[in-house]
Amino acid sequence: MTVSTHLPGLVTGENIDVPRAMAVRPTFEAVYREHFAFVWRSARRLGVPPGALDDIVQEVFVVVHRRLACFEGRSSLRTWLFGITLRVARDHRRSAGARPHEPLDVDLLPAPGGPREALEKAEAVALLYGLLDELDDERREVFVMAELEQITMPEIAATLGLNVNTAYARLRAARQAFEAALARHRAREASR
Amino acid sequence: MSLGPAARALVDAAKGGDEPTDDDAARVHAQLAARLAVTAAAATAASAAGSAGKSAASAAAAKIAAGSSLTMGAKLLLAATVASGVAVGVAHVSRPPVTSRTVASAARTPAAIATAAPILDGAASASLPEVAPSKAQAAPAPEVAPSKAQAAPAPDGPTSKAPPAPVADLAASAPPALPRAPSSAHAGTSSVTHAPETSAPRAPQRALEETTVPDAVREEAALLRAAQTLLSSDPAGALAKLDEHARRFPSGALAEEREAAWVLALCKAGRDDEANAAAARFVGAHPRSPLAAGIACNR
Repeated sequence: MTVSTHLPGLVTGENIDVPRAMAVRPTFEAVYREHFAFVWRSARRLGVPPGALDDIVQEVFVVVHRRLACFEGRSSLRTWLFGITLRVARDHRRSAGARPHEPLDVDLLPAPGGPREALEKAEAVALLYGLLDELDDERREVFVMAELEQITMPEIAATLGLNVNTAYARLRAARQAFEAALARHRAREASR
Repeated sequence: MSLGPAARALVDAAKGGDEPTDDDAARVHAQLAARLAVTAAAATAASAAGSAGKSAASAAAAKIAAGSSLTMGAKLLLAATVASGVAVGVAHVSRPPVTSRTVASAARTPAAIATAAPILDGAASASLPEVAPSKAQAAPAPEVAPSKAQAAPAPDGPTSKAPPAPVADLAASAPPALPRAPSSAHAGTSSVTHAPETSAPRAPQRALEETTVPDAVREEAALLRAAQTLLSSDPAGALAKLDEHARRFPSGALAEEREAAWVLALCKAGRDDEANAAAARFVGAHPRSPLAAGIACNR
């Protein structure tokens, strides 16, 4: 049985990343297929350690399963999913205590057995995570949403419960902190 | 101010480098199937107590005819579905005992089992939105439901007491619950659920089908099923089964379901105070559990 409830307002100019098929309320399986990777990498980028990733992502989809019927398309599905991921990740941080801010070592990543590009990509990811770890949680969240997932500022503000100006201010601070961290990293590399 | 070129270059270079593998998707999917089976079964079981029971049962029968092999999903669904009748009752623990009993009985009707089967897709399409868990639990079971449930207590009837029936249901209907080829999700047509698979199954699906359920989970499921069977006739016996589960699988895959079932068994045994205390403990221990949410809703 397919529920063909239409979601008014879902397909708008802002939500160009939402497939047209999503104009029909997606099934849970469809959401999982389509967005598992997004939830997974978002959790990772928000600082969920690899060992907790399975649990966190699972938790996110349990919430999705429970609330999918309540999704009204006021935001894009991706933003809605990100909001859930954000909250689950926060809960995890709170219960796991202070997150250790250790820059991720490239060696910790799965050995890239492939070509040179794979190695470079793995190094870029490791560096990216290392720099993200240097941001505080609030800045990290807004940075991941805006710069890594290109979520619009109004949606970011709504997800974080901020007004748009505050969200912009936080993004500016996050960008500065990120660039400063990158500059420090380059300086360390150059002095080796 | 936007991101500087060096930082932008790094972000771009990292793009695509932190995607999950197909194995990741399959592994988490299997874990989810076990957990969600409980929620979905709870919602659909409650709805099955209503008028939709018959058609749901025949829909499942049609799926049996389609036939298929046992898969990881099916086995896990079996394990979790077995606990589902119990779980429904738990969601109603704070309701008057009569209602609790009513719904628990309804959950063991063939219809409940049948509708519980197509867990993942079914939960989103069949049971939602008109039977969203909270609503389903809030809706009192119609008067007719208990008599139906009681009318079929014959051990050889198609109730949950006859293990082969649910197995057949699940084996037949679980495959649609497994992820289809990812490409179908991108079809961009108006039908999300039924994009036909024209290409060969891709890795995530294969990975799911090739995995087998651990024996331990089967044993866990057997214990919980035994507890469920005893629930009405012998609550003390049910508690003993749950206790055995607690001793053998203190942190097993179905530990959460066991704790939920424990609450209901206490209810059945007339140990209301202990049931309420256990319910409170459950919510405390599993604040984000779908079952806990059900309990909280009924407060």
